Amino acid sequence: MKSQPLLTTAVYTSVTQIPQAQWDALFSPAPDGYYFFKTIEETLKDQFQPYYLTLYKNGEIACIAPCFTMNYSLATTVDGPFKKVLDRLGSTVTKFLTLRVLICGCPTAEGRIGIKDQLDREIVELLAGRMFTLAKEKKAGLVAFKEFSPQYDPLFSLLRKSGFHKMSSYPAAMLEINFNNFEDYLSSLSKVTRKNLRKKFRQAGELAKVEMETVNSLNENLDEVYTLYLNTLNKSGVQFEILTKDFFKKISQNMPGETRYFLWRINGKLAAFDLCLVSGGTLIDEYIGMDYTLAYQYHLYYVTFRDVFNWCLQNNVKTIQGGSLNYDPKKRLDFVFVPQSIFLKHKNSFLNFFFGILCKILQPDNFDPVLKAAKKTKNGFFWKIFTLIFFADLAEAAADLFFKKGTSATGITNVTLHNLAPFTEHLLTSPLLWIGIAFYFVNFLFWITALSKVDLSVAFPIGSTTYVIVPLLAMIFLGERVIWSQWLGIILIIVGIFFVSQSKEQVTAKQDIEE
Amino acid sequence: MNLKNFLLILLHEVVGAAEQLFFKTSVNNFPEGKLRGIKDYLIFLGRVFRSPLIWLGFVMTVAMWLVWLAVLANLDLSIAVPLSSIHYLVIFAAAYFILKERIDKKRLFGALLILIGIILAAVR
Repeated sequence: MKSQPLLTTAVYTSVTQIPQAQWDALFSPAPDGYYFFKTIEETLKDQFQPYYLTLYKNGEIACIAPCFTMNYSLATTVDGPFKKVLDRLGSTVTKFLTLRVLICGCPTAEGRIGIKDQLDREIVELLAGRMFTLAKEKKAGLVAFKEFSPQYDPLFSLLRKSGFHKMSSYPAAMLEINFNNFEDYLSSLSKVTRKNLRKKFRQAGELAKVEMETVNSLNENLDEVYTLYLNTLNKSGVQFEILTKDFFKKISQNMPGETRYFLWRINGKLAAFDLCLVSGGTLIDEYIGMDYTLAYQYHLYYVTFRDVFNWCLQNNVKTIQGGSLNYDPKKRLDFVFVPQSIFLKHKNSFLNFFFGILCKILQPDNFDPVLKAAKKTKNGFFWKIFTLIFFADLAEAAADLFFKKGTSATGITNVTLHNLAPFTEHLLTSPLLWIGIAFYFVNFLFWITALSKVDLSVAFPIGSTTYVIVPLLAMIFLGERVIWSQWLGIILIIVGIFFVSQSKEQVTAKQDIEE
Repeated sequence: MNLKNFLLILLHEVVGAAEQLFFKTSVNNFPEGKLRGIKDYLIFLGRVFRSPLIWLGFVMTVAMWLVWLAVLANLDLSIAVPLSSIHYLVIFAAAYFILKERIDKKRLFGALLILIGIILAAVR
């Protein structure tokens, strides 16, 4: 008989209490690993108190979940006119919206949990339970898992049964570099963007030269960089963390191999910086800062992007992971957005109910115009597919009609082996048949286009609209009566199509059809 | 309805599923591309008509017509159409087992409603 594995937990308050080898064994390699957490711990302790929840199976380390407590304002993701309203209302309301939370994840990056084998139900439930105990000790009412990519979804869906709410967060933006040079990349973009970018680079080029250098650490230019960082931070509507000057120093000391500072100077003056972490062919764009008296004139956003892109080409970096926010230019630069989710639960089940509603309201895709548009595009995409299949069905119905007429025009009602030859001869010389074939061809064109974009098990049910249209047309034009069971059938089909449209992962290819 | 008719209808559905499988497998093998404007669409169509799998699909289409003619010769349309909703089951099974599409609860439930809906809408 196999005995149940003995599960124990421990909570550490510093990553240095965990041997680095253990950490590396549990986490997939990423630039923002062990030493990144060490840096955050050392420099942002006032904002985030770290706790490392570790699980042991039979005494052997099985899971590391980096956590931290902070005072989080629910209004963080609110942007645009609502933010102004909130700012007006002042500290009372903001205070009401701010609460102490225990979060699993990384304060400044995508959430990850280190696992030995597989995160199974047992471990996830133990983890969540242990988090609530810790939250109680630290007087945090809310427990959350922050910014986890869809690969964690199956796991966290287990938590949803115990009352966790899912909330979409800011997506990660990724760009794969499979181009030989920057020109190649430009020509892969849409015509408008390409023209626009060329114009910007030309305009910037006519002004003073923007010079770039890369360094691993900052010395005398630390103050300059920090000023630019604060510039950009204050400009962005959404602030989660505020880095200290110390962070910019410590990160170079802790991660000398990964840290890259890109510095751009115009006439000797620092105009922009980009702090990146590079390892294993991936560049993570962490923090950027600009001098906004120069940024627009010199199109610094795009110039810095081009220079980083070219640096990646020279240094064999294959993936750029852009910072969150600024989704509009990133969309035009062809970044792919990877959704990230937050899962949260309040210890008080009554309050938790309201958090469920609040989550739906506070999701960033309700505020960010680009994310909002992406949400709409998803629905728009379904309608495009629906239209394609609808026309395919119409053409098919027409084709059927002509085939039927063609076969009855042969005068042979009962086809057998004996009269097959004259029947075929009649049929092939009938223009009706050929019109039918033409309609079938039209049907095929619509159908294959739709099929190239969605799963067969999505396209096929949508194709059942014919069963709705045919009785309705028969009723309107032929005066046929539609009986109650047919009405019921029609309603069922429409509801069914609605459910299929809500199904996840409809798409096998890229979501992009433009006429 | 005798066994022969039933087998004919079954044959019709299996050939129909094969047709869709050939079509879908063919377009799944295409490189990911966006359809922006006429030029992209023509390139797409070029791939479609040069694909042997698509032509195999067309062969299935013709076979389907022939089988359907045989079905109609022996069977009333009002019985034949509801029976062809078996089509759904065959296509769904093929999408799941052969194409390895991930069918979630919403999709399955939706398809089930549609299936019942078709039977109700076609019978009078």
